[in-house]
Amino acid sequence: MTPLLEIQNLSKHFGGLKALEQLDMSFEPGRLHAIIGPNGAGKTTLFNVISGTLPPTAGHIMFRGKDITRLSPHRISRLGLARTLQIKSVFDALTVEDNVWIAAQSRRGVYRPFVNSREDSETAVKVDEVLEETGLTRMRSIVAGTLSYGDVALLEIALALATEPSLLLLDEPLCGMGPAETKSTITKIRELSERIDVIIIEHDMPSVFDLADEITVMAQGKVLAKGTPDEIATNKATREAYLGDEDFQHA
Amino acid sequence: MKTLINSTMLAGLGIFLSGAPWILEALGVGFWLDILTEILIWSLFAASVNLLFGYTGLLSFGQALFFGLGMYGVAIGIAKLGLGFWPALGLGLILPTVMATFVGALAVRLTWHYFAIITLVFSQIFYFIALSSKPLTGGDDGTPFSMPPMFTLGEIEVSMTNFTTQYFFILLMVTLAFFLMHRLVRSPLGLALVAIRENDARAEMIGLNVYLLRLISFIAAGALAGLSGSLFALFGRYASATYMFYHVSGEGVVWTIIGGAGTILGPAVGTALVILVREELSNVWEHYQILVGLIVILTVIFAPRGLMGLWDNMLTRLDARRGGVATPVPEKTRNSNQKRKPKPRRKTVRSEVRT
Repeated sequence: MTPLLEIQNLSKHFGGLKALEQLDMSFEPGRLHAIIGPNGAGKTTLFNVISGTLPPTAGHIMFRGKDITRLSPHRISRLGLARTLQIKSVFDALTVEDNVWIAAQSRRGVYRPFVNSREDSETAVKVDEVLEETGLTRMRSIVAGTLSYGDVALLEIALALATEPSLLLLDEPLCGMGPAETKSTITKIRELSERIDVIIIEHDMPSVFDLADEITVMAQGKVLAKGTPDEIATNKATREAYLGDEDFQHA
Repeated sequence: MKTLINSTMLAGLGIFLSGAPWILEALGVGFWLDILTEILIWSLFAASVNLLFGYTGLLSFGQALFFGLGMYGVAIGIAKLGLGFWPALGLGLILPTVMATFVGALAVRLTWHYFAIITLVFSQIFYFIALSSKPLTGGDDGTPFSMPPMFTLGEIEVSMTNFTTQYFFILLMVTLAFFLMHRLVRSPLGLALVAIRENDARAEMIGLNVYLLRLISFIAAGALAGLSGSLFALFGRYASATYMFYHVSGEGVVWTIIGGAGTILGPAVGTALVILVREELSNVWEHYQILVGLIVILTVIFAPRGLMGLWDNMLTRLDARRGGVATPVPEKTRNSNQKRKPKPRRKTVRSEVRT
């Protein structure tokens, strides 16, 4: 079976800082993957390189057998790879509905200058579907810039889903959420992972161990360990990387 | 209510514009037709700035380049190449559009101040080229030409030498261009441009080709500016490098900001206001531009969405007062509103009396 995502010998250097160093990773489809690691491990840099936001210094990225290294972000998006950002970023001045509308319409032809975008019934159906799925329906006419942090995180997921991805990269989706929101978002991510492949970066250890089928631990731009949650919880190298981290000891 | 007022205003404007030659004549100010024509042309120029700045988030200080090329296309086409009316107008559209494709391909790689600077530099380069290519452009003296007829119907020759014909031709072209722009900004393409204006990194991530979309916007804006330049050449029967100077680009930005960037008619309102101030005030006070500057400062501070933004807010508030269902009130403020219940009710009564 072709791996979902294959990272081959990937390096990303910022001057003297080696954010990623000769990284080799392989993700199988049909499982919920999590990447954990202390701050500065290179997790978000990895997502940035995969999604085309940053060019790698060396190495290759294969998405379902296709080399996507150095493709521009919009082309990678069109191949069905969507991501959310750690520092939440949506179209602040537009309503929740318009945010999702733009993302959904990007899949149905943007270069149509003389038709009314609102008369696109396919997009309208998709927008309703995504808003319903992410629980944002009752906030659809609210301007995105006024949403709470947790709701912006949901809107980020909605934007990603509207582009109909087959692989979703979630960068700390639970950050800034209260306990109730965290619980419902975990449920949603689990539901999503049944039809879309998901790779998640998350610092909330109980959630990660609850959610993931497979966990990859990163530290200093390298893979430290990889395995099931049970294997990772008892892994010695992981414990050393996280020494003193209370979150991890809870798990 | 809001839609009603706006459509009434728009209908009023339509009636005035389509009867302007006779209305102004009847009021004994027939010479104002020229000023009105000029406002129409410059509104279109401001619209091109608006498409870039208001809808795509690119602040250009070089739109005069395309305006000037539109002028030269028409003037050189008629005076040097001996073209007729329509081919010359065509040249006045093609020349700036081609130039916008080349300049845009380089310029839209940059944003913000870098974009502003590169557009400024390009327009200045061609300003000096136009100024020094005396055999072709006439340099300082410009290129005057005599107006060829639009078409002849048997004995009757239809030409822009007739002021009424000239006015209606320009009105038609400007209205058409504004209509096309209105369609554009409501289209999937227009929405994608707004997405880029709001957050280009996110737009790219959801699969929009930000570079190509910015380039399309830049070319379309170049064509709009070129059309306004062509019309201005036909209106003045000459072309001059003066109109390629960056000062002209700057005026387009000022009109757009005063009227309201990101609204269709805002730039037209801003243009009309500033030109009227100029016409009324420049005779009695040579430093009238101080007033224009003051208006810009006040707009930027107190009405970031310009006069159209103010107008829009006013109408929204009016709607809300009339028992508004328009704006859903968030939970928290709804409670505090209940305490002040008598106040909004009184306002409702008053606004009903007014209408």
